[in-house]
Amino acid sequence: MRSAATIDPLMGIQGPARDWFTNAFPNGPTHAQRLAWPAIAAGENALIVAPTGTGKTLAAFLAILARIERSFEHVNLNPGVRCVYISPLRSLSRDIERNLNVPLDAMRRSLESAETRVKVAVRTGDTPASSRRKMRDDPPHVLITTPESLSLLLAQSAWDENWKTLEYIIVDEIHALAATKRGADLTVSLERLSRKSNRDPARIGLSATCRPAESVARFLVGPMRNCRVLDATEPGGPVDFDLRVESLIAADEESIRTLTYRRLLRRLGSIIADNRTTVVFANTRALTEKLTHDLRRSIATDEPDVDFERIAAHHSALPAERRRAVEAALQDASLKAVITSTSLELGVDIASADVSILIGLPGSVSRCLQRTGRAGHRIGTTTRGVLLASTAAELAGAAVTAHAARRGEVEPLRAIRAPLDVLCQQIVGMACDRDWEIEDAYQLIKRSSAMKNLDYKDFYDCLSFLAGELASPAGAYEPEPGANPRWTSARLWRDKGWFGVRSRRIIRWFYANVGTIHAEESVRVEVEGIEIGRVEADYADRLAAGDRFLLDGRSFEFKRLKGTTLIAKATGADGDLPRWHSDRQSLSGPLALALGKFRERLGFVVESEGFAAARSFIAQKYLLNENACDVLIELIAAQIQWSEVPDPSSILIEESPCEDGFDYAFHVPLGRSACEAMGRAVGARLGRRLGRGLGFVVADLGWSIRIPGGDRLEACELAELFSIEGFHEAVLEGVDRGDLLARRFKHVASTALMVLRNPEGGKRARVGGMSWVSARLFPLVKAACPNHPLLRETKREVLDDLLDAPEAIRFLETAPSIRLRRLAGISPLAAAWIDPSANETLAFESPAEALKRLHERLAGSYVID
Amino acid sequence: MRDSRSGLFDGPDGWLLSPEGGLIRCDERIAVIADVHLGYEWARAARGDLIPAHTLADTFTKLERMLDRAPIDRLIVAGDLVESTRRCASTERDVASLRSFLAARSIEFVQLAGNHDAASPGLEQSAIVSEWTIIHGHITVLKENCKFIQGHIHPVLKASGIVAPCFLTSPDTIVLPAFSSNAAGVDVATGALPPGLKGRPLRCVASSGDDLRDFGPVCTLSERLRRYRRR
Repeated sequence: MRSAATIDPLMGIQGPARDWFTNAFPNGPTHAQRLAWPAIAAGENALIVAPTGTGKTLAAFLAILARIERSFEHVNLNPGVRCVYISPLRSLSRDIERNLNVPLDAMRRSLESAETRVKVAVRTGDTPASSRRKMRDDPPHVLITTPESLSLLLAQSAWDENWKTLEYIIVDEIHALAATKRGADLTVSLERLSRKSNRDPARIGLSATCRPAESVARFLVGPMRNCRVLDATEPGGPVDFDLRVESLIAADEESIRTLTYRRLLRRLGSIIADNRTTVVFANTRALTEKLTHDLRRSIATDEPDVDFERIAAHHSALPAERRRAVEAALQDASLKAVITSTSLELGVDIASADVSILIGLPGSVSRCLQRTGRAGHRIGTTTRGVLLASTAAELAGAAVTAHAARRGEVEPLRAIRAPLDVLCQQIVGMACDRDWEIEDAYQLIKRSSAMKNLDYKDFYDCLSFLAGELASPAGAYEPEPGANPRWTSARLWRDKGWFGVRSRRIIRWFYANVGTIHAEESVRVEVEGIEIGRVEADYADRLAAGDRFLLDGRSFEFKRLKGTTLIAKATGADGDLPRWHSDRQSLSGPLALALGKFRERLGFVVESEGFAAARSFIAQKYLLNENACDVLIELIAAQIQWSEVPDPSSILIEESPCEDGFDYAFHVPLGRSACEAMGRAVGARLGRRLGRGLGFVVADLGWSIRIPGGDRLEACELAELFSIEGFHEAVLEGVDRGDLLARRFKHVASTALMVLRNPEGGKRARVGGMSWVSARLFPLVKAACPNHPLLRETKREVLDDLLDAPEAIRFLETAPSIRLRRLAGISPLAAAWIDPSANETLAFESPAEALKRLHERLAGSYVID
Repeated sequence: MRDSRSGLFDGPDGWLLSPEGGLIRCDERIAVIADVHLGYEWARAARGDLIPAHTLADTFTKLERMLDRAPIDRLIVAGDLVESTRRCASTERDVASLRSFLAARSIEFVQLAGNHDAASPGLEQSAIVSEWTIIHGHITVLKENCKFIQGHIHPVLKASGIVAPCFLTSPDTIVLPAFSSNAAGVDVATGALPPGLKGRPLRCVASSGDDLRDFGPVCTLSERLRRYRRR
């Protein structure tokens, strides 16, 4: 009953929607819903932060449905879209539509009308052309779509009328978009959408736990608007949160993968038998397939009560219908367990799962919470998760991940600053819609959060590039004497302060290439005639005789490339068993730091207080059982015996001999992106002195550099290697010497529509081969136009988004001591955390010198004839 | 084996190999190149790419370097002068520029047919120079036991991150590398060679851009590189 003294829990919900809700949810609204409805009904911008399973969909929608429904009472509702819902997942769209139809249908019945008055429609890449036309001519009140489809609709002037009535924009799973280029693209689309409406539509963001929430809110609304953060998470981290870490290996034993794998199967079998429904995150597709197959077999023998047919696999390579069938079976609880790579991490509601099992490390607290949150997904149930570790390094990583997850220490999101490739695509999309005054377009774009700091010069350079009018600076490469580079297929015309699209052809190309997600071109890998997976085409193209590569954790030797098939042979003893360890997978910066501190602390306790004290330290703080504690103590004790445990206030370098020279493992207490910055700087300085190629591997908490030939690192040069003076230049050189920029440029060129992913006619010019863009176009653009905005964007992305130079410098400013130890072999910590197969060559010699050296070495060791 | 003065490399039967990827006969003042793929950028543009024009300038640079090594009166392009198999105005302009470039140096231009040259029907399939038959290599038009020169497959040597265009030579066969820097090629150590080249005692002579180096028999190259990597 409503009274003046109590606050109406259904405030903001009126009419038939209210009646339906009261009937359907006699316990009343959730915390998230109570917070959301009044704000939404008042037309405010709001970010709703709530864990999965707290009724977020209704929190966002019900007040809007009620409002649209009520507007029928006054007038005959004009056609036009009232609400756009945008989700990063296409698979969520159908779910949402279904979920909305339940209340709408109930309202229809209560009004005794023949059809629902509020129309809902889904518009994604799957929508057939006939429905698209129908939707344009007779728009729904609620449009459910994806960022890419929205971008397409905005490029069509025929939709302009439909947007005039827009009042609400909902962005779901916004935490998954905020720190990505896809999200940056969406923010510009939102500004264009808002401009097309008669009023500035209210924006509603839905997010799982995110940090800092204010910056996600800013991401949603841009610099000019206000936004309320409605946080429905429990303060001080999730309550009822049960997350355990278990070790699959025992102390005092050699790690044997086949044995660990059998233990993994047994443990999974028993957890599955003990629970109604289990979700298993296996990280890779290969392990997902193998586990599903083996679990069905072993459960058939070990757990006769469990119907093994009720175990299914779910990963992104399965056909969409199959995935949908598995999702449906999960929802009606007809499945006992589902094994997934990562594809069930977001979105789709898994109503009945009791427990989530994570095999290996999720990499970050936010992913850990996202995955474990898939279980206990009903309102009021406990979240239960189990992290299964199969190496000592993985166990240490799992211990700190779980510790941080229990405390709700979600990593802060790093916003992306004005990505110019996204800008280029948006400019083309805007021109497809209509002609623009340049200044007006710039001002509109700057209203978005991602582009708020966009320089006019950057904007103008992108326009010039798209208009085919980008000039070379004096002295750069001249294709013809005296001329600036001629650019093929310009997208835009530009004249008297205006710009627009050149032809219908450009519009067609935009439609076929919209979006910032690039499925890598890949080649199939065959071993003895059997397809065992796919690798990136660019990568395959670089492989040569004798090269080895990893696929789903297994090691292969390259034999030859035959069209788009890579013929390989398996190497190593465990050839048929995928390696599932993710101990060398990157951890978030904060987790890597926590891990460094944990290792050091454990080393200190082991050395000063003994094993018993160490055991109780781990058991109490990290909640590990005795066996797991012993595994970690053993690793640290071995490191102490062999070398030393790195002290987080110093840099430890361990030298060890390798097949063709020396490996240097560098231990610094920093996350991967800061390690990558510092490692490249050190690599550049070393390479400069030696004048030859070095092997570089980056890891969490360090990196390794291989110096081939007889050269060694000397103690007297250490201070210089880590000098702050000229650090940024050294980082840049270390980036330039490797192939990171070229690899990233390919994606940048694709997003900016410089090179189309889906070329006209569907076929690419084959002569250039699979890596033409990174191997040929990248140096070509550098020569023709060294200051090209897309080269600047590539560099920005590498330095700002992938590397963390400021963090590296902050550490160097503490003047850490630097120690070099020469060891007879690689230390236990280096072996556990640095993956030698992820090797990148930093080239300090010209291709001509490299060829000459190869020739001399081949001739020196073998008779050439 | 190498002529240090001109940077040319002695090939079979009096042919000289140039680091740019051409063959030269000083006695007849003739050069042979193949797979120029002029207008590569226009062909990509027709499929939607927005990239800088570069192939013509690159071709001029390489030709000038080659002509500095030895004077010639005739240039034979052994097929695939252009990229686009359809008529393309921009490509035609580039071909005209190439013709005037050569005419200005009094060099006769001979174009043979390749699989990309469909827009110029009626080209000769082959030419004969000093008892060597020059063909593109996409269709076999050879008599038994004849000495021949071909292009088409764009051979490259790949190893340890290096990709170097290379010649394949034997006493009666020469395969030219692509003159175009845009052409990705067949990795001679691991890739399959066409049937017409199988069983011939081919050697790999790779170019660093400034000079050429003999990497020995193609048939053992893969194993030698593998052993070098595994050492």
